Amino acid sequence: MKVSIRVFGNLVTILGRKQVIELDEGGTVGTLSNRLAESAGLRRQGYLGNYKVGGDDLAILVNGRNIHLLDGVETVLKDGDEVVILPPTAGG
Amino acid sequence: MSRGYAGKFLEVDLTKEAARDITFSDSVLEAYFGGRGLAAKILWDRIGEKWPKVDPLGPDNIFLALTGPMTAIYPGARICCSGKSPLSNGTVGSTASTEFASELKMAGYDGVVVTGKASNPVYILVTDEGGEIRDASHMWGRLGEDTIRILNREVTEELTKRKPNIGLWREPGIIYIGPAGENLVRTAAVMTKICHAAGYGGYGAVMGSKNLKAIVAKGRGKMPEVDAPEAVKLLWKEVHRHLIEESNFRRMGTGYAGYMVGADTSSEPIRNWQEEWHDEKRYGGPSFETRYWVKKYWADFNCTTSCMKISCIKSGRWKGDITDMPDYELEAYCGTNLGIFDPGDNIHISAVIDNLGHSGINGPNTMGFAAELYQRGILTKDDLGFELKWGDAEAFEKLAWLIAKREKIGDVLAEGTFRAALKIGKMKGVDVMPYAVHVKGIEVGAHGTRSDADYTHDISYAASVQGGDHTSVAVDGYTEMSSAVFTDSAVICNFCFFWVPRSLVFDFAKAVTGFPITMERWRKEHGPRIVTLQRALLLMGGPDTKWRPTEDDDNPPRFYEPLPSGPHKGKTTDRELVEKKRSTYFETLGWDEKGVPTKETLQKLGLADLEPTMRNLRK
Repeated sequence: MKVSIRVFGNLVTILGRKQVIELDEGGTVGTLSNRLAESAGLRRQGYLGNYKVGGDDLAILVNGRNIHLLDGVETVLKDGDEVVILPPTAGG
Repeated sequence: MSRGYAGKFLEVDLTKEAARDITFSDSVLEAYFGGRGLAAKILWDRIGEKWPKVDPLGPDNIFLALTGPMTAIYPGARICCSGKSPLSNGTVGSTASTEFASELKMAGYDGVVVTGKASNPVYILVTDEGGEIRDASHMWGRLGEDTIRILNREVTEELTKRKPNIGLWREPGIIYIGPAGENLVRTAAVMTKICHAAGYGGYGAVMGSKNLKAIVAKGRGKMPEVDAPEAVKLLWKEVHRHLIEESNFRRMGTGYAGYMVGADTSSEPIRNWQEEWHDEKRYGGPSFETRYWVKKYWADFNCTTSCMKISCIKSGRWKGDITDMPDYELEAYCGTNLGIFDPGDNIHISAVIDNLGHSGINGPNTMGFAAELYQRGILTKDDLGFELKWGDAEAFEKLAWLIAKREKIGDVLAEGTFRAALKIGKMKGVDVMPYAVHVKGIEVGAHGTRSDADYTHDISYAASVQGGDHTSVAVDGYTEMSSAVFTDSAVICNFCFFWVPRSLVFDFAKAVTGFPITMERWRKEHGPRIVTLQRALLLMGGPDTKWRPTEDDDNPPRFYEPLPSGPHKGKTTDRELVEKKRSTYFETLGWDEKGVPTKETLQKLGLADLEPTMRNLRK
């Protein structure tokens, strides 16, 4: 199945801005982030850059819904889902 | 007994010329915290279903200046100003960094609630003896810098007469308005410390409508008790350790962004947002830093970050102008948005704006709007009394004065961009709303959504209860509940918050207040409670306008035009994405498909008394 990713803020340099990822059926947010980390050559398990996947600081949205309101990193993805990865940003 | 709070608020009725102490229950304080949250609660409790009829510039509006339990204890002391906004007809929690907040707490007060209207210009003095209403007719009409000088001298003389000083005298804290607020310019700011402002919401005009020139606080007492003093000391050291490491931000503040937001993220307002990209290297941070910044590390009370700078123009036609940095927002709005790419000119306009008591974002948004209308031949030299060409700092200075004094077309522009667009449309028989860059009456902050390379996107402004306020954008109805909604209610500075691990901040909050606070509770309960209350008040709106649910939960028309230049040329805000994310946002917060809070949600959040009015909106 295909899932589209959009990345913002200071993770763009590490992960790129937009891409479409192929995942096996039943793939979760956790599977997806492991795949992203692997392709980007990141080695810290369960982290994207300095941010813990499923932690409080990194906002991961599936079709606009924060994963904390779904099943966290165990949230199962479907074909056509849009995942947004949003590090905390400063405005002002 | 709640900790972190001084324990009482000052209520001043300017019509009756009376001041008295009031308190709120621990359960209210725990549910709404302070600042933005508590202000919305107080406003709803006191005004209730009469809300749509209350004129924000009339005597029935309430002006609030509130701290929160963490103010002056956690780094970065701020005051939160609120009331019914003359721009959105809802509420905004509009904050400014100032010792007014710490002085207020040391005077034994958590905030000031001002009702009614004075028959003559007055100021309120708050000390540990209580609140006094004093004559301000000798200050009415004065610019910001003069106002501070007069009040500082007058209050210092008076208070040292009453009680002799021990040790070094600390200046009183002052929030005040300039001519813009006095003349009810709808976008006028509440000013403090010459160049700090509570800008969003138009609360300077609310003060002006009450003939309230200033509020002065002088505290001679201790800071309030905290619940777990040893824990707070340790946590403060941890927070300080995180903040002291931000040496880059300390050095540059946001003062390098005048170039970077244009060149890198292509999201800076240029000539009323007709463009968002530029590569003017003469507008780079170094031009400001090396030529103009005379004091480089300046902080307000209990602030580690110390990112403010003072600019001074030492020669040339603007010699003597003094202002802070300017920060990014004013580099953009008092600069590139007006077609100005000269740092000296930008500093000058910022200083003029500050002295007049305009909001540095909202005021120049209207000025840029006027300049585009001039560019298109809709406004003419006759309307203005002078020519208004992009980049002409002298002309924009004249325009700032024209609006502050409500002269000629300035009287219409003083209504804020949205209302001015309606009026000018009627006057000239031309629809000028496509050029108005606002969301629900509140002019948009200097971060565009078209490039998607900045932190602002599709629903950031469109779904926000505070309209174009860039400091409090909508994300997903969950994440943002523990950022701006929290800091505006705790009342602390965002720049002492962003780089601190959230768990540390919330542990601090718990150690200060003793309330069972966690970040998750703020994201699921407290934040949604405050934002849902704000949403309800916003939808009630009135008296001059009510926002159409969903339709007005949208970006300005300009944000759907393709970017004309730069590396993101051709890109624009994705309308389909806005609609999709907006409905998810409403759903996440427990609002219906029109964004009206549902009965279940109101019940769950302890807002059941809003049901009758919300029921009417659901039809």
